Amino acid sequence: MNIDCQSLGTVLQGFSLIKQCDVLPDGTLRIATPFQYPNGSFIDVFLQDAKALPQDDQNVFFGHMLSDCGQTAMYLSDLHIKTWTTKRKKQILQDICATTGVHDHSGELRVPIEVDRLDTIAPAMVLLAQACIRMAS
Amino acid sequence: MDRYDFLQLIKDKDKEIAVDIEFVRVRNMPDYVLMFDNADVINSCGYDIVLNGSFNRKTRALKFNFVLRGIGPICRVEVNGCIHGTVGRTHKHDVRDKSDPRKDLPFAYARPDLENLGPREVWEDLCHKANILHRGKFVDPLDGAQ
Repeated sequence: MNIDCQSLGTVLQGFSLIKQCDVLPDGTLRIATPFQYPNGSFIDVFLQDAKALPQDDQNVFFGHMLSDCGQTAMYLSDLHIKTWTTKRKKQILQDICATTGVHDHSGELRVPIEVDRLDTIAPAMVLLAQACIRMAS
Repeated sequence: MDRYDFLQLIKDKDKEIAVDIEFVRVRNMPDYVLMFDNADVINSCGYDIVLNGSFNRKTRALKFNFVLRGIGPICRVEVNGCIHGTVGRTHKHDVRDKSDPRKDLPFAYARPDLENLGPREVWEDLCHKANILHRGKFVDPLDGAQ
């Protein structure tokens, strides 16, 4: 079978970043993505209204917050790895955040989604998943 | 540790955990994540095994993770965690091949029977199935432990 750019585009256009989606008790959306941690577990990303964040977090923008809810740090804790214990690990985390545009907020990886910019959710999900994979590796 | 060694360890009826299991907040982690670490698992097979665990109050994900010190995890029970392969969010990982601890336990099987249980019930089921006597106190993270 011959594959060219056009036919590949047709085949892949139906690819979804959502493997599964459900709602947590506090209204946060939990989205299982097709991206995987090194052991094969699918990476979840979480989407919540920025207004639902603790008051002292609501200091930058209005919109939504995409995050990993600490699951990447928890994944590393299974391997007895704590990202904050050495200068080198902290530097690696900072480098990952700097290159992906993801923020580390006390062990939670976050990407802000500006209000009325839901069109940015897909690339934000990809960036967040990349950061999760790089950290977990 | 290979599969045979793991099964021998499971069968060992002399396994004990003497310390209390209490999930607490941890610096540098989100405040809705509670964890415990380094609970020694005494056993007569001569392995240096510790247990750690976590409870995420936001997602209600619960995890008990047994680690062979210096080698890697050998067994992990997850309730409402990340989806793993085709076995869903509630499952148990264990050793099938001696490279599995290094790969963070890629194999898991579904445990839907744990899905609607609270942390204490999951803990008691785990201890019963793994032949572990817990001599300490289990402080349920749903009781508002800090």
